Amino acid sequence: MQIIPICVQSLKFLEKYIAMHAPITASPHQPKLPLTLERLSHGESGNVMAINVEDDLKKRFFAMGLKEGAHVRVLRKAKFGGPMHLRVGTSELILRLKEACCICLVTAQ
Amino acid sequence: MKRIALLGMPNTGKSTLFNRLTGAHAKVGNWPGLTVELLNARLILGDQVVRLVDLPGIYDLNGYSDDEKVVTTFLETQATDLIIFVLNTSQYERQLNLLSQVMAKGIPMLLVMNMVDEASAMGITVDVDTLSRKLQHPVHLLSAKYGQGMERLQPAMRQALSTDQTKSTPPSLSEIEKAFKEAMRVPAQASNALTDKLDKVLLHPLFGLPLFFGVMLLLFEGVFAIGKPLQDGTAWLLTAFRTAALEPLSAHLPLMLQGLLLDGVYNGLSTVASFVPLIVLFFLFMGIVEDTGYLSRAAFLMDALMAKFGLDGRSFVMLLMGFGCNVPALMGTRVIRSKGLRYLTMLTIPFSLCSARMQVFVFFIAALFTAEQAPWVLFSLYVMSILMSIVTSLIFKREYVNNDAFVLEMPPYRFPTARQMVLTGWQEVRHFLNRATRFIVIGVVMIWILTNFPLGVQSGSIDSWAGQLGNLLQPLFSPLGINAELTIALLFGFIAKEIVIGSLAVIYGQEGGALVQTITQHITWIQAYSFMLFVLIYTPCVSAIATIRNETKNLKFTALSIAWPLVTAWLVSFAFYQTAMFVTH
Repeated sequence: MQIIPICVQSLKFLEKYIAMHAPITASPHQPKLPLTLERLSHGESGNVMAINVEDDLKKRFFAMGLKEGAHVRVLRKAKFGGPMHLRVGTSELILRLKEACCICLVTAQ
Repeated sequence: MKRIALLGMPNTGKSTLFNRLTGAHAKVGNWPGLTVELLNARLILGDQVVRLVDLPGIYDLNGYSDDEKVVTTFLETQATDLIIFVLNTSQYERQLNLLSQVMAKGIPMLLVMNMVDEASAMGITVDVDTLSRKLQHPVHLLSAKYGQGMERLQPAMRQALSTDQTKSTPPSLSEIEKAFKEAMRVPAQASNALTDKLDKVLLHPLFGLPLFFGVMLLLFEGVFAIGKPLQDGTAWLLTAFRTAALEPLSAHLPLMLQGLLLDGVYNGLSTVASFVPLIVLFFLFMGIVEDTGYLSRAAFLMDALMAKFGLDGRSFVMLLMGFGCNVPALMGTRVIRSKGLRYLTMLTIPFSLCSARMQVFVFFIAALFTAEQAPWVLFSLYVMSILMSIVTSLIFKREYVNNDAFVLEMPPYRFPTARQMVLTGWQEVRHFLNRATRFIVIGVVMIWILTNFPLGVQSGSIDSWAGQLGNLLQPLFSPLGINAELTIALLFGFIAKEIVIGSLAVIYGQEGGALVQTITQHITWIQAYSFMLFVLIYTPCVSAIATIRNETKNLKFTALSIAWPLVTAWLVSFAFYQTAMFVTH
């Protein structure tokens, strides 16, 4: 019974690993690889595809407007690996890179 | 009595609305989750009296935070006749989930679309009739801050209370979303242009942080520059009142009673009272910074640095809040979900140089330093205050580990209205008077007794009880350059730092300019700075300790939060005094 969730987790990890080592601007012929939010830089944006966090945090993200399908734009990133300043719809929020890693995106064209 | 509850997310202007409706002075904060106690007030609504409760701002009705539990418990256990759901109009989308959870409770509801001023500035429009019809609940447009739509709110509340709203089935989330989509017009590029422009400057990657510290330094300079003359004026007035009215009036009283009233109560109280203008000013300035939303920016700028100390951006904001008063800052840590981070933040907050301690510093700095040195001496104490917090968190960060995510909403810049500023100022005066009656009067009377008994001794002399007590503790305090008189003041400062200066007035039997002169003759600047360091660092006041105890329900932690500052204060003062004496001699 334990096997399936572990598989899903490791699959997600693999996806993330591939995404981390792939160039951000994938060529238009290849299928888009999952991209995580922390890799976006100032001014870039994307649509949220999946949020891989525990339930309580997911609820909080949701209340800030961060949910599957939402459009996210990076307004700025703080120096020294500090948090990101994001706009989601008409709201703005700040988020540490650690949490941004858990948010998978598809870049908006 | 019917009960009406205000419910909504943080930063939707609930507290402002509560203030508008009741005239009570709930604190308005642009910081998510600041309203942490259940504020309530009676309200006359046409021909009936109702009780209005301001529930804490929450994100989710099924969440696990303390505030969320408070609201859920409230709705489950307290019969509520009407919920006023407050919505931040321009950011309606992300609040609909909470709205649908609340609607599912089946309690009559009035939907208040607040901050329409911001929404209309962004070009957002609401079709109230369509929305109200689709949701089958009354909807009201409002700007609680500027008062737009206030005059029609009370009739709307009355009507909502009297009409039967029981529905067969509450609408689902998707139905609610559909209703809003139909009723709202949001331009494609809706953003707050002013906020975008200001953020470009204030959150600048290079200049953001220096700018922030510049603003803070300017704020302290401003408080000093405007407040000091006001303080001198107040002190002069209070002394004049004593010589012109109180002394002749009390001349026929027994000498003992006259001494108690004039040298005890009046001297103590008036010395403290002369600081009120300074404190009001400080809170006014801090309040402006807080209401504008700049503190959330500070959290953004400081988070990377705070993470190195095991804290986060929110802890930094709480530390700043602590510069006003430690107690609300300690309570504000409720927004932090990780117990480790919350405890660590609570351990560092008492080092924040609160306004009560500032009184002591302003007094000593004015007495022993020149006007040019003064702001820098005060600034050095602020730096010391932050340094102590950092050292503390570095030492204890392995003990109290942070495992909370850092997600914070960034409100647009908002400019406080004159009304809000007057409210803040008045609130501080009231707070001071409240503390004055509770601690300061009792404190100064006790000190007067200690300095004037046993009968027949010279007031404040070495033979009095206070003198004996001070002498007893001298072996502990003389290595810090703190004399017997100052030791007594320190003992009483444990109750509340506001007493320190008042007690010196009683101990030396003088007030105003005369007291300053006496102090200048008795102690050197090195002693004064060592004393100030001790006052800055040692155990916070009784209220702060009580708050820590209440918030944590943990005796061991409370004991640590008393002992740690006490030990550090002694060590730091010792190090400073001995080094300074070695260097200057």
